[in-house]
Amino acid sequence: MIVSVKDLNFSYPKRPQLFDGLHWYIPEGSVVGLLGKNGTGKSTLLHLLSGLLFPKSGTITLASHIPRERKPSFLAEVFFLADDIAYPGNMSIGAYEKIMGAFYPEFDSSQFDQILADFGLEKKVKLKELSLGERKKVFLSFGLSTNCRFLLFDEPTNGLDIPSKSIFRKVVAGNLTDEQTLIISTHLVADVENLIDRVAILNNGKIQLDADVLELSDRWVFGTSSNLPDEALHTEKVGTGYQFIRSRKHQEPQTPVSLELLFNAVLHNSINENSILQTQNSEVL
Amino acid sequence: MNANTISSRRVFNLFRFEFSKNRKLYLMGIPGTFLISAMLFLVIFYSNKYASSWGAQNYAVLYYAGLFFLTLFGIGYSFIELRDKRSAQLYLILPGSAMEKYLIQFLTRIVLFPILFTLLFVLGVEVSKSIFQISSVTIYGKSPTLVVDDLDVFNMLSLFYLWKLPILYYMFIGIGGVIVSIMFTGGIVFGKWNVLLMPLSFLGFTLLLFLTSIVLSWIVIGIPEDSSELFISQIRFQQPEIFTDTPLIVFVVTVLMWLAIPQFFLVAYFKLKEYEV
Repeated sequence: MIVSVKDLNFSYPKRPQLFDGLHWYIPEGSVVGLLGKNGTGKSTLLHLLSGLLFPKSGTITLASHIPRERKPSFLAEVFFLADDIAYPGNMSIGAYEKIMGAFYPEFDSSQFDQILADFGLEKKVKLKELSLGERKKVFLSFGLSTNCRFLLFDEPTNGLDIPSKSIFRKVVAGNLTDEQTLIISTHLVADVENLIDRVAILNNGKIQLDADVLELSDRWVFGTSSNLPDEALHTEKVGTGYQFIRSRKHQEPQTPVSLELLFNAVLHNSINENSILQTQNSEVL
Repeated sequence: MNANTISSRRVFNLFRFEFSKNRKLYLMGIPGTFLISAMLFLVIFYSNKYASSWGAQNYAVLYYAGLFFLTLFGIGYSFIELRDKRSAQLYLILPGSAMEKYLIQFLTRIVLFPILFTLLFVLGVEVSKSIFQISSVTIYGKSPTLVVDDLDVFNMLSLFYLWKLPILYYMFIGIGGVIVSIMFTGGIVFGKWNVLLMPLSFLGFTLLLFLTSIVLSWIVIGIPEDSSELFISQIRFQQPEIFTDTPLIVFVVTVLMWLAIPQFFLVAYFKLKEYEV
Protein backbone atom coordinates (compact mmCIF):
# COMPACT_ATOMS: atom_id res chain seq x y z
CA MET A 1 0.00 0.00 0.00
CA ILE A 2 1.36 3.39 -0.95
CA VAL A 3 -0.43 5.21 1.86
CA SER A 4 -0.56 3.57 5.24
CA VAL A 5 -2.16 4.94 8.37
CA LYS A 6 -1.85 2.69 11.41
CA ASP A 7 -3.54 3.16 14.75
CA LEU A 8 -3.70 6.93 14.34
CA ASN A 9 -4.70 8.99 17.34
CA PHE A 10 -5.12 12.70 17.10
CA SER A 11 -6.86 15.53 18.90
CA TYR A 12 -6.54 19.28 18.90
CA PRO A 13 -5.59 20.84 22.24
CA LYS A 14 -8.53 21.06 24.67
CA ARG A 15 -10.81 19.29 22.18
CA PRO A 16 -12.23 15.77 22.19
CA GLN A 17 -10.37 12.97 20.46
CA LEU A 18 -10.79 13.32 16.69
CA PHE A 19 -9.17 10.09 15.53
CA ASP A 20 -9.08 7.08 17.78
CA GLY A 21 -7.07 4.18 16.41
CA LEU A 22 -7.74 5.03 12.78
CA HIS A 23 -6.45 2.56 10.17
CA TRP A 24 -6.40 3.33 6.47
CA TYR A 25 -4.52 1.88 3.53
CA ILE A 26 -4.54 3.14 -0.04
CA PRO A 27 -3.15 1.28 -3.06
CA GLU A 28 -0.87 3.11 -5.47
CA GLY A 29 -2.54 4.91 -8.36
CA SER A 30 -5.91 5.27 -6.63
CA VAL A 31 -8.22 8.22 -6.92
CA VAL A 32 -9.85 8.22 -3.52
CA GLY A 33 -12.89 10.17 -2.45
CA LEU A 34 -12.61 10.89 1.24
CA LEU A 35 -16.16 11.61 2.33
CA GLY A 36 -17.49 12.69 5.67
CA LYS A 37 -19.80 15.12 7.40
CA ASN A 38 -18.57 18.57 8.38
CA GLY A 39 -16.22 18.41 11.33
CA THR A 40 -15.43 14.72 11.05
CA GLY A 41 -11.76 15.48 10.39
CA LYS A 42 -11.38 15.13 6.62
CA SER A 43 -9.18 18.21 6.34
CA THR A 44 -7.30 17.27 9.49
CA LEU A 45 -6.53 13.86 8.01
CA LEU A 46 -5.14 15.53 4.88
CA HIS A 47 -3.08 17.85 7.10
CA LEU A 48 -1.69 14.80 8.86
CA LEU A 49 -0.93 13.07 5.55
CA SER A 50 0.90 16.13 4.26
CA GLY A 51 2.92 16.63 7.45
CA LEU A 52 1.28 19.89 8.47
CA LEU A 53 -0.01 18.24 11.64
CA PHE A 54 1.65 15.51 13.65
CA PRO A 55 -0.10 12.40 15.05
CA LYS A 56 -0.34 12.08 18.83
CA SER A 57 0.40 8.40 18.32
CA GLY A 58 0.33 5.88 15.52
CA THR A 59 2.18 5.95 12.23
CA ILE A 60 1.59 7.46 8.83
CA THR A 61 3.68 6.59 5.80
CA LEU A 62 3.40 7.70 2.21
CA ALA A 63 5.61 5.33 0.22
CA SER A 64 8.78 5.35 2.33
CA HIS A 65 8.17 8.84 3.68
CA ILE A 66 7.08 9.82 7.16
CA PRO A 67 5.15 13.06 6.64
CA ARG A 68 5.93 14.62 10.04
CA GLU A 69 9.64 14.70 9.14
CA ARG A 70 8.80 17.08 6.28
CA LYS A 71 11.88 16.08 4.35
CA PRO A 72 12.32 17.92 1.06
CA SER A 73 12.27 14.64 -0.85
CA PHE A 74 8.76 14.04 0.56
CA LEU A 75 7.56 17.61 0.10
CA ALA A 76 8.65 17.52 -3.56
CA GLU A 77 6.39 14.50 -4.05
CA VAL A 78 3.27 15.80 -2.35
CA PHE A 79 0.97 18.62 -3.35
CA PHE A 80 -1.67 19.72 -0.88
CA LEU A 81 -4.45 21.90 -2.19
CA ALA A 82 -6.06 23.49 0.85
CA ASP A 83 -9.65 24.68 0.73
CA ASP A 84 -8.61 28.21 1.61
CA ILE A 85 -5.09 28.57 0.31
CA ALA A 86 -2.86 31.63 0.78
CA TYR A 87 -1.62 33.20 -2.43
CA PRO A 88 0.74 36.01 -3.33
CA GLY A 89 -1.87 38.39 -4.72
CA ASN A 90 0.56 40.64 -6.57
CA MET A 91 1.89 37.78 -8.66
CA SER A 92 0.48 37.01 -12.06
CA ILE A 93 -0.38 33.40 -12.83
CA GLY A 94 2.78 33.25 -14.95
CA ALA A 95 4.97 34.57 -12.12
CA TYR A 96 3.34 32.15 -9.69
CA GLU A 97 4.14 29.30 -12.06
CA LYS A 98 7.77 30.43 -12.36
CA ILE A 99 8.35 30.88 -8.62
CA MET A 100 6.41 27.89 -7.32
CA GLY A 101 6.99 25.49 -10.20
CA ALA A 102 10.73 25.57 -9.55
CA PHE A 103 10.14 23.72 -6.28
CA TYR A 104 8.71 20.66 -8.01
CA PRO A 105 11.17 18.65 -10.11
CA GLU A 106 8.43 17.10 -12.26
CA PHE A 107 6.55 20.32 -12.90
CA ASP A 108 5.41 20.52 -16.52
CA SER A 109 4.88 24.03 -17.83
CA SER A 110 3.14 22.99 -21.04
CA GLN A 111 0.76 20.81 -19.05
CA PHE A 112 0.00 23.81 -16.84
CA ASP A 113 -0.72 25.95 -19.93
CA GLN A 114 -3.01 23.27 -21.32
CA ILE A 115 -5.04 22.87 -18.11
CA LEU A 116 -5.31 26.63 -17.73
CA ALA A 117 -6.59 26.81 -21.29
CA ASP A 118 -9.12 24.07 -20.48
CA PHE A 119 -10.35 26.24 -17.65
CA GLY A 120 -10.29 29.33 -19.87
CA LEU A 121 -7.67 31.25 -17.90
CA GLU A 122 -4.80 33.45 -19.10
CA LYS A 123 -1.38 33.56 -17.46
CA LYS A 124 -0.90 37.32 -17.49
CA VAL A 125 -3.74 37.95 -15.02
CA LYS A 126 -2.78 38.72 -11.42
CA LEU A 127 -3.99 36.30 -8.78
CA LYS A 128 -5.71 39.03 -6.78
CA GLU A 129 -7.80 39.97 -9.80
CA LEU A 130 -9.33 36.51 -9.97
CA SER A 131 -12.50 35.30 -8.30
CA LEU A 132 -12.34 32.58 -5.66
CA GLY A 133 -13.39 29.95 -8.17
CA GLU A 134 -10.88 31.12 -10.78
CA ARG A 135 -8.07 31.04 -8.23
CA LYS A 136 -9.11 27.53 -7.31
CA LYS A 137 -8.77 26.59 -10.97
CA VAL A 138 -5.25 28.05 -11.08
CA PHE A 139 -4.14 26.06 -8.02
CA LEU A 140 -5.83 22.92 -9.33
CA SER A 141 -4.03 23.35 -12.65
CA PHE A 142 -0.78 23.95 -10.82
CA GLY A 143 -1.24 20.97 -8.53
CA LEU A 144 -1.89 18.61 -11.42
CA SER A 145 1.08 20.02 -13.35
CA THR A 146 3.47 19.35 -10.48
CA ASN A 147 3.05 15.67 -11.32
CA CYS A 148 3.60 14.93 -7.66
CA ARG A 149 3.20 11.32 -6.63
CA PHE A 150 0.68 12.29 -3.98
CA LEU A 151 -2.04 14.83 -4.60
CA LEU A 152 -4.19 15.84 -1.65
CA PHE A 153 -7.13 18.01 -2.62
CA ASP A 154 -9.27 19.46 0.14
CA GLU A 155 -12.72 20.44 -1.12
CA PRO A 156 -11.38 21.13 -4.63
CA THR A 157 -14.79 21.91 -6.13
CA ASN A 158 -15.74 24.52 -3.54
CA GLY A 159 -16.28 27.77 -5.39
CA LEU A 160 -16.38 26.20 -8.84
CA ASP A 161 -19.41 26.86 -11.02
CA ILE A 162 -21.33 23.96 -12.58
CA PRO A 163 -19.53 23.91 -15.98
CA SER A 164 -16.17 24.15 -14.18
CA LYS A 165 -16.98 21.14 -12.04
CA SER A 166 -17.43 19.10 -15.18
CA ILE A 167 -14.13 20.45 -16.59
CA PHE A 168 -12.52 19.67 -13.23
CA ARG A 169 -13.49 16.01 -13.52
CA LYS A 170 -12.25 15.83 -17.11
CA VAL A 171 -9.00 17.61 -16.33
CA VAL A 172 -8.24 15.48 -13.29
CA ALA A 173 -9.03 12.24 -15.10
CA GLY A 174 -6.92 13.29 -18.08
CA ASN A 175 -3.86 14.40 -16.18
CA LEU A 176 -3.20 11.59 -13.77
CA THR A 177 -0.75 8.78 -14.33
CA ASP A 178 -0.88 5.29 -12.82
CA GLU A 179 1.87 6.21 -10.38
CA GLN A 180 -0.04 9.10 -8.89
CA THR A 181 -2.36 8.77 -5.94
CA LEU A 182 -5.05 11.39 -5.50
CA ILE A 183 -7.10 11.86 -2.35
CA ILE A 184 -10.05 14.20 -2.69
CA SER A 185 -11.71 15.25 0.51
CA THR A 186 -15.17 16.60 -0.04
CA HIS A 187 -18.65 16.85 1.35
CA LEU A 188 -19.98 17.59 -2.14
CA VAL A 189 -20.38 13.93 -2.94
CA ALA A 190 -21.86 14.36 -6.41
CA ASP A 191 -18.83 16.35 -7.60
CA VAL A 192 -16.51 13.39 -7.42
CA GLU A 193 -18.86 10.73 -8.74
CA ASN A 194 -17.47 9.19 -11.96
CA LEU A 195 -14.02 10.43 -10.98
CA ILE A 196 -12.97 8.36 -8.02
CA ASP A 197 -12.14 4.68 -8.12
CA ARG A 198 -12.09 4.25 -4.37
CA VAL A 199 -14.29 5.63 -1.63
CA ALA A 200 -13.47 6.13 2.04
CA ILE A 201 -16.06 7.35 4.49
CA LEU A 202 -14.85 8.97 7.67
CA ASN A 203 -17.15 8.96 10.66
CA ASN A 204 -16.71 8.97 14.44
CA GLY A 205 -12.93 9.12 14.26
CA LYS A 206 -12.57 6.09 12.04
CA ILE A 207 -12.69 5.10 8.40
CA GLN A 208 -16.10 3.52 8.48
CA LEU A 209 -15.98 2.21 4.92
CA ASP A 210 -13.07 1.94 2.49
CA ALA A 211 -13.83 0.18 -0.74
CA ASP A 212 -13.11 0.01 -4.44
CA VAL A 213 -15.95 1.59 -6.41
CA LEU A 214 -15.88 -1.21 -8.99
CA GLU A 215 -16.14 -3.74 -6.21
CA LEU A 216 -19.11 -1.90 -4.76
CA SER A 217 -20.97 -1.90 -8.06
CA ASP A 218 -20.03 -5.54 -8.43
CA ARG A 219 -21.49 -6.49 -5.05
CA TRP A 220 -24.37 -4.12 -4.60
CA VAL A 221 -27.21 -2.65 -6.59
CA PHE A 222 -28.03 1.01 -6.16
CA GLY A 223 -31.54 1.63 -7.38
CA THR A 224 -34.93 3.25 -6.98
CA SER A 225 -38.29 1.57 -6.49
CA SER A 226 -41.86 2.63 -5.93
CA ASN A 227 -42.24 0.01 -3.18
CA LEU A 228 -40.10 -0.66 -0.17
CA PRO A 229 -37.75 -3.34 -1.53
CA ASP A 230 -37.16 -6.62 0.28
CA GLU A 231 -33.68 -7.59 1.41
CA ALA A 232 -32.43 -4.04 1.07
CA LEU A 233 -29.36 -3.16 3.08
CA HIS A 234 -30.43 0.45 3.17
CA THR A 235 -33.46 2.40 1.98
CA GLU A 236 -34.33 6.04 1.80
CA LYS A 237 -37.70 7.55 1.04
CA VAL A 238 -37.47 9.91 -1.94
CA GLY A 239 -40.66 11.60 -3.15
CA THR A 240 -43.19 8.86 -3.69
CA GLY A 241 -40.63 6.06 -3.98
CA TYR A 242 -37.51 4.65 -2.40
CA GLN A 243 -33.80 4.62 -3.08
CA PHE A 244 -32.14 1.44 -1.97
CA ILE A 245 -28.94 -0.54 -1.75
CA ARG A 246 -29.12 -4.31 -1.88
CA SER A 247 -26.91 -7.25 -2.77
CA ARG A 248 -26.45 -7.80 -6.47
CA LYS A 249 -27.80 -11.06 -7.75
CA HIS A 250 -25.92 -13.35 -10.07
CA GLN A 251 -25.71 -11.94 -13.63
CA GLU A 252 -27.84 -8.94 -12.66
CA PRO A 253 -26.67 -5.78 -14.52
CA GLN A 254 -24.32 -3.53 -12.57
CA THR A 255 -25.55 -0.12 -11.48
CA PRO A 256 -23.53 3.03 -10.93
CA VAL A 257 -22.60 3.59 -7.30
CA SER A 258 -24.68 6.34 -5.76
CA LEU A 259 -22.14 7.94 -3.43
CA GLU A 260 -24.78 9.97 -1.66
CA LEU A 261 -26.86 6.91 -0.89
CA LEU A 262 -23.79 4.95 0.13
CA PHE A 263 -22.67 7.82 2.35
CA ASN A 264 -26.03 8.00 4.09
CA ALA A 265 -26.12 4.23 4.48
CA VAL A 266 -22.74 4.24 6.19
CA LEU A 267 -23.67 7.14 8.44
CA HIS A 268 -26.84 5.29 9.47
CA ASN A 269 -24.78 2.16 10.11
CA SER A 270 -26.88 0.29 7.56
CA ILE A 271 -23.71 -0.92 5.88
CA ASN A 272 -20.02 -1.06 6.66
CA GLU A 273 -16.92 -2.83 5.42
CA ASN A 274 -18.19 -6.10 6.90
CA SER A 275 -21.28 -5.86 4.69
CA ILE A 276 -19.06 -6.16 1.63
CA LEU A 277 -17.35 -9.18 3.13
CA GLN A 278 -20.69 -10.74 4.01
CA THR A 279 -21.91 -10.19 0.46
CA GLN A 280 -18.74 -11.80 -0.85
CA ASN A 281 -19.08 -14.76 1.50
CA SER A 282 -22.73 -15.38 0.69
CA GLU A 283 -21.86 -15.42 -3.01
CA VAL A 284 -19.04 -17.86 -2.42
CA LEU A 285 -21.35 -20.09 -0.42
CA MET B 1 24.32 14.63 -2.36
CA ASN B 2 21.47 13.39 -0.19
CA ALA B 3 18.21 15.02 -1.28
CA ASN B 4 17.47 16.10 2.27
CA THR B 5 20.67 17.98 3.08
CA ILE B 6 20.99 21.63 2.13
CA SER B 7 20.58 22.03 -1.60
CA SER B 8 21.71 25.20 -3.35
CA ARG B 9 18.84 24.90 -5.83
CA ARG B 10 16.21 24.76 -3.09
CA VAL B 11 17.88 27.59 -1.18
CA PHE B 12 17.79 29.66 -4.36
CA ASN B 13 14.11 28.81 -4.87
CA LEU B 14 13.33 29.76 -1.28
CA PHE B 15 15.19 33.06 -1.66
CA ARG B 16 13.20 33.80 -4.78
CA PHE B 17 9.98 32.94 -2.95
CA GLU B 18 10.97 35.21 -0.03
CA PHE B 19 11.72 38.18 -2.29
CA SER B 20 8.64 37.66 -4.47
CA LYS B 21 6.25 37.15 -1.57
CA ASN B 22 7.59 40.12 0.41
CA ARG B 23 8.36 42.30 -2.57
CA LYS B 24 6.51 45.27 -1.09
CA LEU B 25 8.58 45.11 2.08
CA TYR B 26 11.82 45.31 0.11
CA LEU B 27 10.58 47.80 -2.48
CA MET B 28 9.30 50.21 0.17
CA GLY B 29 11.80 49.43 2.91
CA ILE B 30 14.97 50.17 0.95
CA PRO B 31 14.14 53.65 -0.38
CA GLY B 32 12.20 54.37 2.84
CA THR B 33 15.21 53.66 5.05
CA PHE B 34 17.44 55.80 2.86
CA LEU B 35 14.99 58.72 2.84
CA ILE B 36 14.45 58.59 6.60
CA SER B 37 18.20 58.49 7.19
CA ALA B 38 18.93 61.36 4.79
CA MET B 39 16.02 63.50 6.06
CA LEU B 40 16.98 62.91 9.68
CA PHE B 41 20.54 64.13 9.14
CA LEU B 42 19.40 67.08 7.06
CA VAL B 43 17.10 68.16 9.89
CA ILE B 44 19.91 67.67 12.44
CA PHE B 45 22.47 69.60 10.36
CA TYR B 46 20.13 72.49 9.57
CA SER B 47 18.87 72.82 13.12
CA ASN B 48 22.48 72.91 14.38
CA LYS B 49 23.88 75.05 11.58
CA TYR B 50 25.32 77.66 13.94
CA ALA B 51 26.73 75.13 16.39
CA SER B 52 30.46 74.46 16.35
CA SER B 53 30.70 70.81 15.30
CA TRP B 54 28.95 67.54 14.72
CA GLY B 55 31.21 64.87 16.18
CA ALA B 56 31.79 61.50 14.61
CA GLN B 57 30.56 59.75 17.78
CA ASN B 58 27.06 61.13 17.22
CA TYR B 59 26.72 59.02 14.07
CA ALA B 60 27.26 55.89 16.12
CA VAL B 61 24.51 56.80 18.59
CA LEU B 62 22.01 57.29 15.77
CA TYR B 63 23.27 54.26 13.89
CA TYR B 64 22.76 51.94 16.87
CA ALA B 65 19.40 53.54 17.66
CA GLY B 66 18.46 52.78 14.05
CA LEU B 67 19.69 49.23 14.41
CA PHE B 68 17.51 48.88 17.49
CA PHE B 69 14.44 49.93 15.50
CA LEU B 70 15.49 47.58 12.72
CA THR B 71 15.67 44.79 15.29
CA LEU B 72 12.15 45.55 16.50
CA PHE B 73 10.47 46.10 13.16
CA GLY B 74 12.69 44.13 10.77
CA ILE B 75 14.18 41.20 12.63
CA GLY B 76 11.04 41.06 14.78
CA TYR B 77 9.13 40.27 11.60
CA SER B 78 10.97 37.01 11.05
CA PHE B 79 8.97 33.97 9.95
CA ILE B 80 6.25 36.29 8.70
CA GLU B 81 4.72 33.42 6.69
CA LEU B 82 3.79 31.63 9.90
CA ARG B 83 1.63 34.48 11.15
CA ASP B 84 -1.56 33.23 9.64
CA LYS B 85 -2.77 29.72 9.10
CA ARG B 86 -3.19 29.94 5.36
CA SER B 87 0.25 31.27 4.53
CA ALA B 88 1.82 28.94 7.09
CA GLN B 89 0.32 25.95 5.25
CA LEU B 90 1.79 27.13 1.97
CA TYR B 91 5.19 27.86 3.54
CA LEU B 92 5.56 24.64 5.51
CA ILE B 93 4.86 22.36 2.57
CA LEU B 94 7.19 24.19 0.20
CA PRO B 95 9.77 21.61 -0.78
CA GLY B 96 12.69 22.63 1.40
CA SER B 97 14.07 21.41 4.70
CA ALA B 98 13.49 23.23 7.98
CA MET B 99 17.19 24.09 7.95
CA GLU B 100 16.94 25.65 4.50
CA LYS B 101 13.89 27.68 5.47
CA TYR B 102 15.61 28.74 8.67
CA LEU B 103 18.70 29.69 6.73
CA ILE B 104 16.70 32.00 4.48
CA GLN B 105 15.19 33.74 7.51
CA PHE B 106 18.57 34.03 9.19
CA LEU B 107 20.37 35.31 6.10
CA THR B 108 17.71 37.87 5.23
CA ARG B 109 16.84 39.12 8.73
CA ILE B 110 20.13 38.77 10.58
CA VAL B 111 22.62 39.32 7.75
CA LEU B 112 20.97 41.12 4.84
CA PHE B 113 18.81 43.59 6.79
CA PRO B 114 21.71 45.02 8.89
CA ILE B 115 24.00 45.18 5.83
CA LEU B 116 21.33 46.99 3.81
CA PHE B 117 20.59 49.27 6.75
CA THR B 118 24.29 50.12 7.17
CA LEU B 119 24.71 50.89 3.47
CA LEU B 120 21.57 53.04 3.40
CA PHE B 121 22.58 54.80 6.62
CA VAL B 122 26.03 55.66 5.24
CA LEU B 123 24.48 56.74 1.95
CA GLY B 124 21.95 58.87 3.84
CA VAL B 125 24.73 60.54 5.87
CA GLU B 126 26.85 61.28 2.81
CA VAL B 127 23.96 62.61 0.73
CA SER B 128 22.60 64.83 3.53
CA LYS B 129 26.10 66.09 4.35
CA SER B 130 26.69 67.00 0.70
CA ILE B 131 23.30 68.71 0.42
CA PHE B 132 23.98 70.64 3.63
CA GLN B 133 27.43 71.75 2.53
CA ILE B 134 26.32 72.77 -0.97
CA SER B 135 23.21 74.60 0.24
CA SER B 136 25.19 76.28 3.04
CA VAL B 137 27.42 77.99 0.51
CA THR B 138 24.73 78.95 -1.96
CA ILE B 139 21.65 79.71 0.14
CA TYR B 140 22.65 81.23 3.44
CA GLY B 141 23.74 84.84 3.55
CA LYS B 142 25.40 84.19 6.86
CA SER B 143 27.64 81.13 6.59
CA PRO B 144 26.80 78.33 8.99
CA THR B 145 29.43 77.52 11.57
CA LEU B 146 28.68 73.84 11.87
CA VAL B 147 31.60 71.62 10.94
CA VAL B 148 30.32 68.14 10.13
CA ASP B 149 32.87 65.45 10.87
CA ASP B 150 33.37 62.71 8.32
CA LEU B 151 31.69 59.42 9.09
CA ASP B 152 34.29 56.82 10.01
CA VAL B 153 32.38 53.64 9.20
CA PHE B 154 34.99 51.33 10.71
CA ASN B 155 34.98 53.16 14.03
CA MET B 156 31.20 53.23 14.08
CA LEU B 157 30.80 49.53 13.34
CA SER B 158 33.61 48.35 15.59
CA LEU B 159 32.35 50.40 18.53
CA PHE B 160 35.80 51.97 18.72
CA TYR B 161 34.53 54.39 21.36
CA LEU B 162 34.01 51.53 23.82
CA TRP B 163 37.40 49.89 23.38
CA LYS B 164 38.84 51.69 26.37
CA LEU B 165 36.54 49.62 28.61
CA PRO B 166 36.65 46.09 27.17
CA ILE B 167 33.99 44.66 29.51
CA LEU B 168 31.60 47.43 28.48
CA TYR B 169 32.34 46.60 24.86
CA TYR B 170 31.63 42.89 25.27
CA MET B 171 28.56 43.62 27.38
CA PHE B 172 27.17 45.97 24.74
CA ILE B 173 27.68 43.36 22.04
CA GLY B 174 26.15 40.72 24.35
CA ILE B 175 23.04 42.79 25.06
CA GLY B 176 22.70 43.60 21.35
CA GLY B 177 23.09 39.94 20.44
CA VAL B 178 20.50 38.83 22.98
CA ILE B 179 18.00 41.44 21.80
CA VAL B 180 18.53 40.44 18.16
CA SER B 181 18.23 36.71 18.88
CA ILE B 182 15.12 37.02 21.06
CA MET B 183 13.40 39.26 18.53
CA PHE B 184 14.25 36.75 15.79
CA THR B 185 12.91 33.86 17.86
CA GLY B 186 9.93 35.92 19.00
CA GLY B 187 8.76 36.07 15.37
CA ILE B 188 7.91 32.38 15.56
CA VAL B 189 6.83 32.38 19.23
CA PHE B 190 4.62 35.47 19.44
CA GLY B 191 3.76 35.91 15.75
CA LYS B 192 2.24 39.30 14.98
CA TRP B 193 2.41 40.36 18.64
CA ASN B 194 6.18 39.95 18.73
CA VAL B 195 6.95 43.66 18.45
CA LEU B 196 4.95 44.22 21.63
CA LEU B 197 5.24 41.01 23.61
CA MET B 198 8.93 40.22 23.23
CA PRO B 199 10.17 43.68 24.40
CA LEU B 200 7.64 43.43 27.25
CA SER B 201 8.93 39.98 28.18
CA PHE B 202 12.50 41.27 28.03
CA LEU B 203 11.65 44.30 30.16
CA GLY B 204 9.77 42.07 32.60
CA PHE B 205 12.76 39.77 32.92
CA THR B 206 15.13 42.71 33.41
CA LEU B 207 12.80 44.15 36.06
CA LEU B 208 12.74 40.78 37.78
CA LEU B 209 16.54 40.72 37.87
CA PHE B 210 16.61 44.26 39.26
CA LEU B 211 14.03 43.47 41.93
CA THR B 212 15.90 40.28 42.83
CA SER B 213 19.03 42.31 43.55
CA ILE B 214 16.97 44.73 45.67
CA VAL B 215 15.26 41.97 47.65
CA LEU B 216 18.59 40.19 48.12
CA SER B 217 20.00 43.47 49.39
CA TRP B 218 17.12 43.76 51.89
CA ILE B 219 17.71 40.18 53.06
CA VAL B 220 21.51 40.31 53.27
CA ILE B 221 22.13 43.94 54.32
CA GLY B 222 18.74 44.93 55.67
CA ILE B 223 15.95 47.32 54.65
CA PRO B 224 17.33 50.89 54.51
CA GLU B 225 15.80 53.35 57.00
CA ASP B 226 15.88 56.14 54.45
CA SER B 227 12.92 55.48 52.12
CA SER B 228 14.71 57.21 49.22
CA GLU B 229 17.28 54.39 49.27
CA LEU B 230 14.68 51.64 49.42
CA PHE B 231 15.21 50.62 45.81
CA ILE B 232 18.96 51.05 45.73
CA SER B 233 20.85 47.82 46.11
CA GLN B 234 23.27 47.94 49.04
CA ILE B 235 25.16 44.90 47.77
CA ARG B 236 28.49 45.94 46.28
CA PHE B 237 28.33 44.31 42.86
CA GLN B 238 31.53 46.12 41.89
CA GLN B 239 33.51 43.71 44.08
CA PRO B 240 35.18 41.34 43.68
CA GLU B 241 36.89 42.20 40.39
CA ILE B 242 38.07 39.41 38.16
CA PHE B 243 40.17 41.74 35.99
CA THR B 244 41.01 45.41 36.35
CA ASP B 245 37.77 47.42 36.20
CA THR B 246 35.85 44.19 35.56
CA PRO B 247 33.53 43.14 38.40
CA LEU B 248 32.99 39.39 38.59
CA ILE B 249 29.20 39.67 38.41
CA VAL B 250 29.37 41.84 35.27
CA PHE B 251 31.80 39.38 33.72
CA VAL B 252 29.55 36.40 34.52
CA VAL B 253 26.43 38.14 33.21
CA THR B 254 28.28 39.03 30.00
CA VAL B 255 29.42 35.43 29.50
CA LEU B 256 25.88 34.17 30.14
CA MET B 257 24.47 36.61 27.61
CA TRP B 258 26.94 35.47 24.97
CA LEU B 259 26.03 31.86 25.69
CA ALA B 260 22.31 32.66 25.46
CA ILE B 261 22.55 34.09 21.94
CA PRO B 262 23.02 30.76 20.06
CA GLN B 263 20.46 29.13 22.37
CA PHE B 264 17.74 31.54 21.27
CA PHE B 265 18.62 30.95 17.62
CA LEU B 266 18.44 27.21 18.23
CA VAL B 267 14.98 27.55 19.81
CA ALA B 268 13.76 29.28 16.64
CA TYR B 269 15.03 26.38 14.51
CA PHE B 270 13.28 23.74 16.60
CA LYS B 271 10.07 25.78 16.75
CA LEU B 272 10.09 25.91 12.95
CA LYS B 273 10.84 22.20 12.66
CA GLU B 274 7.97 21.27 14.98
CA TYR B 275 5.50 23.89 13.76
CA GLU B 276 2.03 22.49 13.11
CA VAL B 277 -0.84 24.14 11.35
